[in-house]
Amino acid sequence: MSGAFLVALYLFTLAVFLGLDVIRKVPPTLHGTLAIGMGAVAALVVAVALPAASASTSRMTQLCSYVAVVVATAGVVAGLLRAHRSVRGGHRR
Amino acid sequence: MSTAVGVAVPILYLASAVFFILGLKRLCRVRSARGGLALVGGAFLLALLGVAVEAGRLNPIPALVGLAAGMVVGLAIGYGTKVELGPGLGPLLASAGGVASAALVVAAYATDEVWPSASIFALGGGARGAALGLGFVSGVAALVFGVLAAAGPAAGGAGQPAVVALAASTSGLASAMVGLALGNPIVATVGGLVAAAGYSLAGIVGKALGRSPLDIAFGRGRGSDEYANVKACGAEEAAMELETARKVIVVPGYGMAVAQAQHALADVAKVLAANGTKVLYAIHPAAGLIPGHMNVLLDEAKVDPAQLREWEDANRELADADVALVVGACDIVNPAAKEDRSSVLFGMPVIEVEKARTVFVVKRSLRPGASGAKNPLFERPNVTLVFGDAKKVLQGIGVELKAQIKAAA
Repeated sequence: MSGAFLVALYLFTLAVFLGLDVIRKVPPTLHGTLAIGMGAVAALVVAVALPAASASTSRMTQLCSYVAVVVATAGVVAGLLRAHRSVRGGHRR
Repeated sequence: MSTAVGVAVPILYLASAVFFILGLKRLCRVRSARGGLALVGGAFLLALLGVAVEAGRLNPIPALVGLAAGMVVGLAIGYGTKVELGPGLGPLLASAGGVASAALVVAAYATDEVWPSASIFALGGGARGAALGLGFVSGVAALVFGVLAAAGPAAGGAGQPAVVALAASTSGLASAMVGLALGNPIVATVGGLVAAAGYSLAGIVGKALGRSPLDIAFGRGRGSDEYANVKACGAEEAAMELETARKVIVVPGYGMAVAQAQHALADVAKVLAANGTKVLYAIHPAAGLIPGHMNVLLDEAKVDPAQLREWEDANRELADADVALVVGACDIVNPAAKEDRSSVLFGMPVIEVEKARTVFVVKRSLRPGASGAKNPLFERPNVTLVFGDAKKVLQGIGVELKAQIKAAA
């Protein structure tokens, strides 16, 4: 098992506990916005898809990485935009 | 990798993770939601900057072409879909992270360079193989939840955010697993964060509807027979909403009189007014037992008569109200009186609370008012019930409100 894997495993485990605590009370008007925003954040996998698309040499890998880049980027952009639009009608203070 | 790059990448990733955490935290509060979203956007930029630095001399063209294509699709969907509850392509986007992760797992298995397939069963490969396998399965699960959110039984209902949150949660898990297998710390961290936070949010939305998130997703157990899509929350969430409101219209009814809640109500109104909120009371002629019942009780609680509005004026004021707070009233706020010819209430003047941006109804149960008529107000998307004795609920809101105003100051 490589060091990078173990470090990532550490971080993942701690992040799960943090994530359970970050969201505790949410007013009902923000349920939708928050869910959409989280969908965008979950597409951060684009950060590993981008180098994969550039580094891959075989056709199959390249195709799959491309799909991953396009889908994940669309998820980030559309998710942030939709969350922004849904919160825009909200409070002005 | 030069030393400068070796230091810059972890710092960019660390800053990005901190931004993501703070952003999600702020997205849970009405006051700071917009700032939270900006932080999340900044977090993405930092993470992508880290990727760019780390990638070094890799040919950037393929990545940039994919990025541009994704942006075009994202902009089209982001602007082209409505953000209100409803079926459509928008909710499906929450599974994008899962689908992309599944595609990356296939890519990892398809190539000998990234993932030597022969060594899957080798020592050390087992854990990474397991991570990739779990990533693929979660990615498929995310797609299922995304489709259910976009076109399943919950699409368009009050439970839709719960299903979107499940899609985001499974997407996050899939991303985290791929990040884990490829040893990318930021993707593993943020994926884990969203996996857990999405799970929490699905539970919170489910609790508001009195159903489990999975029941909502698959349309099992419809809850109450008579009412669908009724949301409920506690005093704390209601206070979170009131705290940022500029204009609040209170609609007292018979239930306030029964619970003797006028003092607790006046106290909440006083706290709101001190916080800069304009508070008005909408008085329906039929509220309470006798005409003038509400006026007497509010006078007893030393409410300034200048804050009282007759129902016609109140309906005008409601158009730009942030919150309508209905306290123990039912028939006098029943929209069926305007819309449903078959209703026993049809033709009676009512206070049109649904015109306010958000409506809280403090009520002991879903039991009908004196007329016995069902109240479709409770099913409206901008209406949330706060179940309980009016006095206790309002006292709770008062305590939460004071605490939140103090914290925000």
